[in-house]
Amino acid sequence: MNVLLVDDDDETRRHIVSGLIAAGNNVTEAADGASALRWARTRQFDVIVLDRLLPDRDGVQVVKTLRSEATATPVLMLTAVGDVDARVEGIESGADDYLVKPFAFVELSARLMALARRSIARESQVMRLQVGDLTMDLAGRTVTRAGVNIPLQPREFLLLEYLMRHCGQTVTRTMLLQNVWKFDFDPQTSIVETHISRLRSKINREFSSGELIDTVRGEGYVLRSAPRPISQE
Amino acid sequence: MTTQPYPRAVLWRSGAFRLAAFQAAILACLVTVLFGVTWWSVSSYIEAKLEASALDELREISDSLQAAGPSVGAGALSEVKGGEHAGLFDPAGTHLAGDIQVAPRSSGDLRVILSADDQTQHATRRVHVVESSLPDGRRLYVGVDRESVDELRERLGQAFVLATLAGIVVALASGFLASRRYLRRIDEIAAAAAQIVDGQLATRLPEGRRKDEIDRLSAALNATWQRIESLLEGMRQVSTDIAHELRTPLAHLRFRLETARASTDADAASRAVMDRSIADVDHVLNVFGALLRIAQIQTRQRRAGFERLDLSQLVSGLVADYRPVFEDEGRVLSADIAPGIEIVGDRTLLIQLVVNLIENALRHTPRGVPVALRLAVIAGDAQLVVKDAGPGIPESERERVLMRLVRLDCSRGSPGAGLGLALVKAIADLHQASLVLSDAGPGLVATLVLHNAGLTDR
Repeated sequence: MNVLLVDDDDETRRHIVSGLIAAGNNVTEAADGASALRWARTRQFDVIVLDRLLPDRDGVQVVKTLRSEATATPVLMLTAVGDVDARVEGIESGADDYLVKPFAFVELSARLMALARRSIARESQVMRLQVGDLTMDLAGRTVTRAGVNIPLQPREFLLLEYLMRHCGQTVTRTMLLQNVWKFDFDPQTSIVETHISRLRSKINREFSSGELIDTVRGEGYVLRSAPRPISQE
Repeated sequence: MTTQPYPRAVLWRSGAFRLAAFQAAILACLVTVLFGVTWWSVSSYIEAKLEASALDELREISDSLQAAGPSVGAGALSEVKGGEHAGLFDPAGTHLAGDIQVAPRSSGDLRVILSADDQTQHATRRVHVVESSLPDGRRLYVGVDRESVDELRERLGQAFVLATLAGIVVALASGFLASRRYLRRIDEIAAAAAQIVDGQLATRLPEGRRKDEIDRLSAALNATWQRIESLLEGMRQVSTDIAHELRTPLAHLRFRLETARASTDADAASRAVMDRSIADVDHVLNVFGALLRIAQIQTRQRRAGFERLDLSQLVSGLVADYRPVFEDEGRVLSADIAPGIEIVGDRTLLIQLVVNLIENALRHTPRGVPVALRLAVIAGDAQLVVKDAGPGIPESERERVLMRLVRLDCSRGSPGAGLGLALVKAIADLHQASLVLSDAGPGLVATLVLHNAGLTDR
């Protein structure tokens, strides 16, 4: 994956770069908005990581300029802690996702993976999602596994839809809160865990074909395309 | 907080109008005095003239009667002037001549019975009467008509009353117009001040070119508001700067801890230490984030994000989200939500508000304690009530828990940064909603009242 990383803080950059390179990515670094725009105009990137607070201009401005130049590269905006308007302003300017600094590296890499593959995940015309023997009919709002209908609560449906659209990728708790619940804050209770566990028991019940939703310790959840036998759990 | 902190100016309470009314009263007094003086001097002058002309006539008639001797005919007094009357009576009071038919009892202003020229009809008129006794004992009365004098006095009085009334009306009308203009400008100032209180710190008053007292007041207020705005801006700048300053080293610390934890040399014990350290850093960052968030909400930068939304849908969605969390703890979240309640607000922040209220009830009450939520429209306001049957909050502490970083650890014994209710309060304030904590006996009731709720057309 070719990543353009824009942040004026050397240490932050070094940390992100070492993590991304260790994961096998190519990283181009920029320390201000002007050089970020220069890079973005000359090279093709899979994803751009852009700090909102840059020495020469607001990251929002950079995204707006990119979008006005018809650059469609997905942008992950890094915002400062406590910035209430981050989500609204970031998304309105054309950024595809935002992440509050500082973050766990796994959070960043999970989001970058999701963004790089978003063409599949964002496909809105899709009427039906299929993962293994699990089928979701988006128009009819029904879910079946191996042909058997599984009744789901509205939020469970949205949760499963998000997991299916990101099938095979690690999805973090924060990503679920942001995208499924539209929470831009971290609730103090186990709301995600509770709903995942309910969803799990519903889609596993009476099916011996195996566990579909895996917990990735310390990272998040992943919906597997090939179910793992439950006995290994 | 209400939308309009200052009542609208009332006309008759305005200083300008009171001044005008006072001036009208003074004018009325002056006119009355002027009237009194004029009335008195005109009256006494006319009375004196009347008396003089009556006496002249009396003397003239008396002289001619004396010259004519004691026996005169009934036509003796027929040559009196117009507007004057005369009567001659013998000592016994019998009418001898003249149009005065009955002898008046005295002189002065009287009503006397007069005969008309053809002697057939009698009339009474108000006349000023003077009398004189002739040497032969006959009595002569001469009366001058008072009607014209009375009419003059009446007209004089009417003219003064009319002039006074017109003066008062003009004074009040000019006072009304002046104070209405004045009040409009005062209302403008009050409205601008209300906007400032409401957080629209860039509001300014127009400063006219007349440089009158209102313009000078406007200029002074504008300068004050300018100062407030720059001070607040400065404070926000400072907190943003501090946040930025602290954020960077904290971020570095977290990154380094993460890198060290991931390195292959770390043993299980040091990894556990690093995990705890990362958790602590995250806690600091969370508190910090919540504080900055509250500060940002308090400076009202997010009114722009307001939209019309279905509060019933929002709340019931969150209740559905939290029911399983309650059930996992073996407790019940019951809800009574009126459908179709619409308000104007910030969706993201309202979600956080409702979540914080539900989580506050969940985290600060022992397992098994039920929580009830109710959403209804009462008198045009949306009322959201979250009630638990837990230990509650002592009355003296209820105001305090709405402030930042106040946590009643001893009584409620649970984790948290103590910012949940402060954030709820900040969001409620942004929506001009009132938040009241009260006693559920036992337990805590949080009541949120959002004004101007509507109902969707169904």
